Amino acid sequence: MAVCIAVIAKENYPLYIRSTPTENELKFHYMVHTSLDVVDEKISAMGKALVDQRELYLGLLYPTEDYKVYGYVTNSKVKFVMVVDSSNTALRDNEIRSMFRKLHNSYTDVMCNPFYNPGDRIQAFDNMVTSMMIQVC
Amino acid sequence: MSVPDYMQCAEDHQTLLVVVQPVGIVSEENFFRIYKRICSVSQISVRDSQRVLYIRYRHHYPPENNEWGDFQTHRKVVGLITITDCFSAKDWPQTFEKFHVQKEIYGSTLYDSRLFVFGLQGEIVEQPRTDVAFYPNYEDCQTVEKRIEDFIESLFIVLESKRLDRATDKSGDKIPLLCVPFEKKDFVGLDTDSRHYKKRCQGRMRKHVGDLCLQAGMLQDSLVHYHMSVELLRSVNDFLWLGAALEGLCSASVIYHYPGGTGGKSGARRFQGSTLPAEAANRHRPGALTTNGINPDTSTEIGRAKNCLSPEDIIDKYKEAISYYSKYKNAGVIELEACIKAVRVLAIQKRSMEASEFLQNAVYINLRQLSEEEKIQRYSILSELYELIGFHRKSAFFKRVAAMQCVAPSIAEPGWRACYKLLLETLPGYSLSLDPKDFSRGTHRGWAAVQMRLLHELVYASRRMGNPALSVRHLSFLLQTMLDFLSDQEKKDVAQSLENYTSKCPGTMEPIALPGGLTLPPVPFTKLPIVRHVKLLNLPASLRPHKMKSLLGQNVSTKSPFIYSPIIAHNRGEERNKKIGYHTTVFGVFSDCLLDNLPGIKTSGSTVEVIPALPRLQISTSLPRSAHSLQPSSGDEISTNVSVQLYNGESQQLIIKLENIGMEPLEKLEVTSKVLTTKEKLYGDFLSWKLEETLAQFPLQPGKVATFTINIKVKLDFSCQENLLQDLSDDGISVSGFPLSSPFRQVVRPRVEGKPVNPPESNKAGDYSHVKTLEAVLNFKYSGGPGHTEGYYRNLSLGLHVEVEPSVFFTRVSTLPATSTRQCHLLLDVFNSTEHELTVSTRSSEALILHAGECQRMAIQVDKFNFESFPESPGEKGQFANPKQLEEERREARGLEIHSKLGICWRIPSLKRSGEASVEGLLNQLVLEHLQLAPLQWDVLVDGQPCDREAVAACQVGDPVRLEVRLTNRSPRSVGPFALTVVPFQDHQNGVHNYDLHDTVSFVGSSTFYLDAVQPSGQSACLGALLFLYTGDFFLHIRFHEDSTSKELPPSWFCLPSVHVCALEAQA
Repeated sequence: MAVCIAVIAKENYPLYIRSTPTENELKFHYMVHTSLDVVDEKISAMGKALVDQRELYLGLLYPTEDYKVYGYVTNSKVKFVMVVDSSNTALRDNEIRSMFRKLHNSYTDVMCNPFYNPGDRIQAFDNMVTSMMIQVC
Repeated sequence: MSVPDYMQCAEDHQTLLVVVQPVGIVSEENFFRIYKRICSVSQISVRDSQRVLYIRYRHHYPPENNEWGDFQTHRKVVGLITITDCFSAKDWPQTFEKFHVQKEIYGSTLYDSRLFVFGLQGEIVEQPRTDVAFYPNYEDCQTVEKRIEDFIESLFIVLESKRLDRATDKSGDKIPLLCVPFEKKDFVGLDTDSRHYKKRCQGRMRKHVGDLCLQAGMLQDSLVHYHMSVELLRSVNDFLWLGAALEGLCSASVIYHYPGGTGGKSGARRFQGSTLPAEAANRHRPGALTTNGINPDTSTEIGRAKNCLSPEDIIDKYKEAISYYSKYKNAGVIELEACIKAVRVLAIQKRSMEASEFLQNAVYINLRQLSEEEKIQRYSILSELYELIGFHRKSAFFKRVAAMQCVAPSIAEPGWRACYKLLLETLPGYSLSLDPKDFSRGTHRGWAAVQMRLLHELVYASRRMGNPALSVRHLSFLLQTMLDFLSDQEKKDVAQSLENYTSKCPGTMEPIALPGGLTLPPVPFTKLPIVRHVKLLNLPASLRPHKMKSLLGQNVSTKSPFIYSPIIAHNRGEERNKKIGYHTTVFGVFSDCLLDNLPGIKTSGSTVEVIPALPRLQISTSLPRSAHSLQPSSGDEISTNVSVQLYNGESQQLIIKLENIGMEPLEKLEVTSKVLTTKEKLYGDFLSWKLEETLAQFPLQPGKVATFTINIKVKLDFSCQENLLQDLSDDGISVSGFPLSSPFRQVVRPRVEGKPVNPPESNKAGDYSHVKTLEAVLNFKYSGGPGHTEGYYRNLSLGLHVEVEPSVFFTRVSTLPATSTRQCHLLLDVFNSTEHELTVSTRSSEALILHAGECQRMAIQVDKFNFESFPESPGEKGQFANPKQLEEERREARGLEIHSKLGICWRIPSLKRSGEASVEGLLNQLVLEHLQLAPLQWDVLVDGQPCDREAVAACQVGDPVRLEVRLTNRSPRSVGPFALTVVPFQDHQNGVHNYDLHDTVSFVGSSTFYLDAVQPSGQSACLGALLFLYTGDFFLHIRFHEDSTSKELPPSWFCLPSVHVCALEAQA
């Protein structure tokens, strides 16, 4: 179960961020924000690899006491960050991967919308994200 | 051991720990002055070897940490320096005693100690002592450094002896077991003779010797000892010490690989010389071996390169060491410090990911219940370390946590200042700049929620700090930059608290400088209110500068000989760089908003040209201001309008006060007037002034006033167009013809015929009381100061609105011949259209009183005018004007002449107002002709006496009377010849004229005279004679023969006086 899903622009500002326990939204903002340090580090380490061999899934960024933060980066350097409850041990790496892929597809759909200005906050994302947050739990 | 040293780094393992402490009462300032000097002696090359000793000074060190000295010797306090004040010898023993007490604290580990006494003089000082140094005061102590060096050398001697002692101990039978404080009870009752125990003792001792070697500057030796120790300890599973041995290995390798140090405290701290560290280390080794005679079998077997760990191995060994430490709860501090040391090494290796793992581990190490201060320190260090490995966001996160810790509710005295300072340091981590300019490019892109939280915290902290200006600035910034992200409720809250704050401390446009060197730029509210459209408006017309055309040409030509000069262009560019903006006050915050910074507006650049200063003229007049605005067609923008109400023909002075309200002297003034087109015909000068008197007061300095007088004179048409013609019924007076006899001949004074206004006239009243309007614009062009030299001026316009009420009307005008041919009676029907009693007077007659609405006839005897003698209108003008205009001008000139001759004035006694009345507009051609002196001047002389008017010529019966008719030709053409017949007659005064006088009057010669043609300005005369046979009154009527020549000329030219002759009885 994902508790927070965020889409971060190339310039590292949030395009979309949503979390389920809405009362403590700020906590997840902080969590996703600090995870970008690790994302940056991983991307810069990855930079040397060939583009086509590049793995988009960044894996576990860092664990905290209650949550695990996973990352994913598209070829256009848009980042997806997902926070999952660390108590949910049933969640395997492969499932996380597939969730990211689904997220990537949705993001591509959003970008295909001619009425969307790249760089603006994403509005039409909620349905998919909600399904993703519920589906797994 | 519970107090971690967060500043530790790997190279600290090679240092000797020296504690410097004050004894007794020493001022902090003095202590730290000496402490600083002591600290400067941080590395020493030992005299007889090439080894270098490093010293770590602490002014505070918990004794419990000292107990771990055997575990890692750099934790052991080996030296103590105490500093004390002592002013009298009496206090000396006591002071010295204190020094000993102090020594006791670290007594077990101390190699040596020193006491620095300041202020003591006298006998005691004379005695030379190695452990005490005396200085008269804190200024006069040049030898402190030297003393320290000596002290360190003595430490080295002890260290070296211990190292040698321990290193050779191995050959002896019994090696003591070194242990850390918490182990002591574990070893009670253990079999000391077992192999296992011996190995443990050996391993630990090896490790210890390694430490000592490292401290003594023998890096390679220490590596060898550490390797051996690791082997020994691994075999007996002595994990804590195995960890320590591994860490020692790491430390020595780090020192070898990174001579610059990992702590970043003191750059190249190791070697002052230019020798490379590795070489230097190599050079030491052989010397160390020979002079100190360490058991050689250990070091020769293992190759030098193998002994030292590779950079990758260092991290692996650190990991291993930390994993061993983590098995012991009591070694938390050791583990934590090892983590920090590893992170510093990784930071240098630029392996951030692994470093972050070490840090993550460090975060989870729970030491015990930390004090608030320790928590702050811990978070700050974590933040610093994250910063070190380039994790700026994480660093900011921990810094913010540290900031919040400063003001935790459990702290009795919250450190708002520290909190604020730390919060400011987090700004870069959250990519938040406090300069609103960075937010002017479109929508804000950032972590709005997180940034807003931070801004709120800054606002709160600065408020609690007692700096309201700062919190207003932060709050303004929050409102301005995060407006799009605030919910409606938040907007309301922020605005409300901003208003609360500004009520005490209004927001300004001044940049706020913070003690840390940061400057908070002002925050103009460009989004509140939203500006949708900007348009430059011109200055009000009265302030608008105008360029003098003539000067413009001069300027260009004098500035540069070229049409285009880059220098001029550059200068103008500089002047144009001024920004344009507007000023607002929103929620108590004053803002200067520049148009360039407005988000919603794309100005393609509005240019304002600034010219040098000009004076400013303010005018005030004696007349009341008017709400009337002039006709829109006037074209000028009028700043002030004044209005006045006058009766037709009245004149008034308009006094204008000119005040210079500017900063520059007013030097030039030009006044022009423009009468706005009106249907009304104006006679005479409407506005007239004399500028010279005003200019005499110039230049007008700022604040000074000059006066300027304008005469307003309204003279409109006094006729009333045919409205009143029927008013006075015709008296049967003919204006034409030759009134040989007239029933009114005796009327020489103005005839008064009171006639009440006809009742039907009331419905026409509107026409008489019709108020006419005259409008004019007075333009004041003025200049002065630097603007004048640049060729600029200003133009101030004064609108003048004159309402003209009718005063008198001449309802009808006619002429009546006078008795003399040179004179004439002008009959004027005067109508008083005012509501007041009015008197009318002329130059030659007394006043005529007219009641309101009354109409009276007025006869004025006037001399006929010789219009031909007027100078012609200016020649050049005439050339271009068409004949019609010429005629018009001539008519006006005549009118003016007549007007000035007549001098008709009216007066309203009740209002004390008076004015002129002019007949100019109502003289038609016919009347004019009658008033004109004929160009042919006829004179009749009886007996040589001119005969005219009432004069009666007397003659005697029986005597011939000479009769002469003279003609003077003033016309421009030749006239004549003429034939005249003299017809005598008698007037019976009853309307009967008796022409049958053949018996009474006889002509001597012919009764018909002939006159030859007369050239222009020529004269001619014809003579005849009459003989009266009887006495009586006779009249002579001289008649022209009607022939072709005379017909061409107007009949008025042949106006001959009638001659009255009285024939008397001949005297005896």
